[in-house]
Amino acid sequence: MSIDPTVLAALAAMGIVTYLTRAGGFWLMGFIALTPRIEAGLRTIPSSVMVALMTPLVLNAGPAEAVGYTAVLIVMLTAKSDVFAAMAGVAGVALTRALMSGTLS
Amino acid sequence: MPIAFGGFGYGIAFGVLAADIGLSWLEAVLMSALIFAGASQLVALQMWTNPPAAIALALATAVVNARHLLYGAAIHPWFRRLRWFQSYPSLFFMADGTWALTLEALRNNRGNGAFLLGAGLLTYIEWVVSTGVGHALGKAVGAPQALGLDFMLAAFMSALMVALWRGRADVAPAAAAIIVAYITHSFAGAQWHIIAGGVAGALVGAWRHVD
Repeated sequence: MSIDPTVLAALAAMGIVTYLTRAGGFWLMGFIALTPRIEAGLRTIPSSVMVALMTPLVLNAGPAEAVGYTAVLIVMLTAKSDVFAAMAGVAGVALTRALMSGTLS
Repeated sequence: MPIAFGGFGYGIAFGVLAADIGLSWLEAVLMSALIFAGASQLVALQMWTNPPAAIALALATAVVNARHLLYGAAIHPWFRRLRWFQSYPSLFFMADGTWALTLEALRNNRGNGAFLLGAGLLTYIEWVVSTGVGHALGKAVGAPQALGLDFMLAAFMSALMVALWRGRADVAPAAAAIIVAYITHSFAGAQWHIIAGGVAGALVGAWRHVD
């Protein structure tokens, strides 16, 4: 049971920033109106962040990871469950690695 | 933006990943207790270094969680009637799912301001507890590469990306995000491409908006 002071500082900073996003929108509305354009920008953030995060990962993917991402995509498009999709992706990677190293043949 | 996370399962997965990254049990549970925002916590794990880069982490957290600004603005017409010591603590528990439920309840004149606090508290406890359970599980199983568990974070992220995809409106912002992320990644260290790409996508989304 340990906590590093630098970790605690980082966690506290992230926690404060997150609360400011939660309270900030409500607080600001007491002064200004949210324009549709700003709203459209805010709505775009979640998908853009994920796309940006995945870009180098996908570009550097090997054959096992390629199979994993394909499995995630298929499960997401059919079952629409992120937990199951992630599990399918992990299984796909494990299976491909086993096949490539010859442990299954 | 309704993201139907498999509640407890998602927390378990986060706990396992946090253990795999090298966070202690207390650090993982504290992260869930202080931040309580799954997507940003996964992004933080992806960016994690030893010692952690607090400024980059806080910036990325701000970008990923900026959608909360929108949620808070949306419930302002109802929450403005509450006293500040009622509204501001409740807002800590506002998450994607509980916000959507609260807004629906308020619009249909069911429930009141306490709805957000009630639903939020339940989700909060679930999130913190499942993180602790997941971390313990991750420690017990270990994360051998042969099992493909090192891929779990990337798998979760890609699943989340598909879940957050809104269709045609996201194509141009995504293209901008990819280009900016690729360029940033090729020269900047750490994980600045996540912040730069996310902001670029948001700017394109705002720029292309037609009133």
